[in-house]
Amino acid sequence: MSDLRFVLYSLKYRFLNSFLSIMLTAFGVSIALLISQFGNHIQNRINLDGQGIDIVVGAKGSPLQLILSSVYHIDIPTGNIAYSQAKKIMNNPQIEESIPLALGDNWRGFRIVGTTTNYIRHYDMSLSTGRYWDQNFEVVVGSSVNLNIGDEFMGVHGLLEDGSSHEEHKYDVVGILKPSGTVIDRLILTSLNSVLDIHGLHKVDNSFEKNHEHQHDHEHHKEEHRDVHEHDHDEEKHKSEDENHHKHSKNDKETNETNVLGSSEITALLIKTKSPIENINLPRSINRESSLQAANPALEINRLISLFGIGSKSFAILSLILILIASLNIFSGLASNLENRMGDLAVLRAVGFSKKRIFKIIVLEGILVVLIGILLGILIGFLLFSILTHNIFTLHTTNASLIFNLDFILIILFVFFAGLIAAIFPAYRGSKISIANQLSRTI
Amino acid sequence: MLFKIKNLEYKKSNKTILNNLNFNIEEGKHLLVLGSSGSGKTSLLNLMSGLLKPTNGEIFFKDHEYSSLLEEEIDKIRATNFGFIFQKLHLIGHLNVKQNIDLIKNKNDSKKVENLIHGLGLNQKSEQMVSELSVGEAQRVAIARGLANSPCVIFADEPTSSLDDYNTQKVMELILEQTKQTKSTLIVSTHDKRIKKYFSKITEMSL
Ligand SMILES: Nc1ncnc2c1ncn2[C@@H]1O[C@H](COP(=O)(O)OP(=O)(O)OP(=O)(O)O)[C@@H](O)[C@H]1O
Ligand SMILES: [Mg+2]
Repeated sequence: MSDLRFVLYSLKYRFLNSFLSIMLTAFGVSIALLISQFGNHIQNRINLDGQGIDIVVGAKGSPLQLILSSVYHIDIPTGNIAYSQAKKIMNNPQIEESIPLALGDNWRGFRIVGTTTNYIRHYDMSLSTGRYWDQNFEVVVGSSVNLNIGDEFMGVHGLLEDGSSHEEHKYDVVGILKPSGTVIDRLILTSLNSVLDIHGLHKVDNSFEKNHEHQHDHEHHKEEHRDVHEHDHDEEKHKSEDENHHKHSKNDKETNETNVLGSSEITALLIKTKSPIENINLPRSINRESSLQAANPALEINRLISLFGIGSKSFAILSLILILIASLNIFSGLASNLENRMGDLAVLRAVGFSKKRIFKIIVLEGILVVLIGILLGILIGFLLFSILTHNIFTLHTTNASLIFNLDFILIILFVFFAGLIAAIFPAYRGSKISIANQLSRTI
Repeated sequence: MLFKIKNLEYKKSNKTILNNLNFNIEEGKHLLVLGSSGSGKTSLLNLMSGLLKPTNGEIFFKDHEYSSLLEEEIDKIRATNFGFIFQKLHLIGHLNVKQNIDLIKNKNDSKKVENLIHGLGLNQKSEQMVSELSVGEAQRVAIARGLANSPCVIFADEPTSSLDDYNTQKVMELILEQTKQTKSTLIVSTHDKRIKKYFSKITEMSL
């Protein structure tokens, strides 16, 4: 009989104890995996999506909400800002790049973002097929959006799936982006004016999109204004000041720049500054001097992580405790079983099993428990992970997926060695038994 | 010479259990160790099989002196040369009959478990857990296990002490039949004088 078979019979014999050890190990592993995987996912998304964005300017409100909505596209915006005001900030010489965003609609949960192609360039992305937009209502879609070139669709009002649709305007898909692993993958991008138009706002002059330096030369507002639609704009969150803008925008139809800009609204401005000092100075002056809000993504996200960190830390401790309990259980299972099987081990020694082999058999028993526990733990981890990603919106939309990273390997090694150490002491004692004494034991 | 025992002395907690023993066992000969309870029979068998270390004296097995061997070498001798039928049987309770015998098989010329089981009339019991066997059945399993590796020396410690006349005869015939087949040496310890008559070529010693 092979040693493995012998060990399996022995585990089967004390099934309840083995089962408990296996389950404890499995839970420890799965929780540790979940924590590290989600932490890693969040960190990756934060780093990737937030790359090169130093300041975000938007309507007053929660700075974190502003960051989450405009950089990570997972919350609703704090409101809209007047384009004229945004424009002033964009002209600040300390700014290297600024990207306007206009949010408001979605298609099957994918946000429609009015912006400039600078936004795409900012994430170093390129088209996989098709072309960029050059007419209003032409869109370029991210790789996760299930639309093809030539598809037409209607935007739905609001940023969540169930809103009223804008039946008057159809978007045309003209381009599809390569996958990048960033937030862009699940966005539908179009010109700023498409979004403004659909919400009955004045279009902005988009000459800056072509040449940033000459943005002051524009006086040409060629496109004809479409009819303004009478509808309740925006989500519940929007403040009354926004509504004033809307009413205002419906009334004037001038091509005069100040008027146009005064009546145009965007949602946020993503800014890359020229020097790190401006990351602190610029938001300070914007917050003080204007009705806008400027937030520093790095700062806000750090704040969020430190809040969230308390929760994840206690989960990490919980999984550590579970792994320790599992190891202790493996130890106590083997140690208490050892008392019962001294006679058996003595017989094996007597018929010629070496000390090494007895040691190996007991360690193998511990290893087997811990390995089955680890496998089961990975399985449970995968299962919980996919259940969670399917059911938690933000995880679902950010394409959370389980990856084999260093943490994954470290967790498994840690659990494995904890189990191994738990088995070594009983194994050592088992190999050292006095054969003759055990065999002569009557009681 | 299979075994050579010189000036063997064994003390346990300052009590002399065996003193100045000298004897040889030739190959093919059997040894019957007679002695009353507590006289040191089990101790002698354990010394001869290398499970205990003598306080004094030498034990040679096939010209190898135990104290000159590594522990693992003695393990190897036991694994390849010795078969054990223990006084208290010591079957492994959570394994069935077949598994108990199979467990110690370690040689290419090991007997087929099926043949052993058949030879000892355990056909119907091969899948039964040993904890559910009668004493007589368990004893036969212990014998089967002791013979499984076709050992050249079989140590049988009081194999018949708990058996009636009928079963004593059956067990002894069984063991002797096996030793005849494999030309092996039987070393039996007992306080049971009934056994004597089954041996023709024996070295007898009283402790
Ligand atoms: N581990 C031990 N510690 C102390 N004394 C022991 C030990 N093992 C055996 N003895 C003593 O050694 C003596 C011989 O024991 P042993 O088991 O060899 O006798 P035995 O002849 O086999 O007896 P039985 O016929 O009852 O099996 C006994 O008096 C016993 O009490
Ligand atoms: Mg005895």
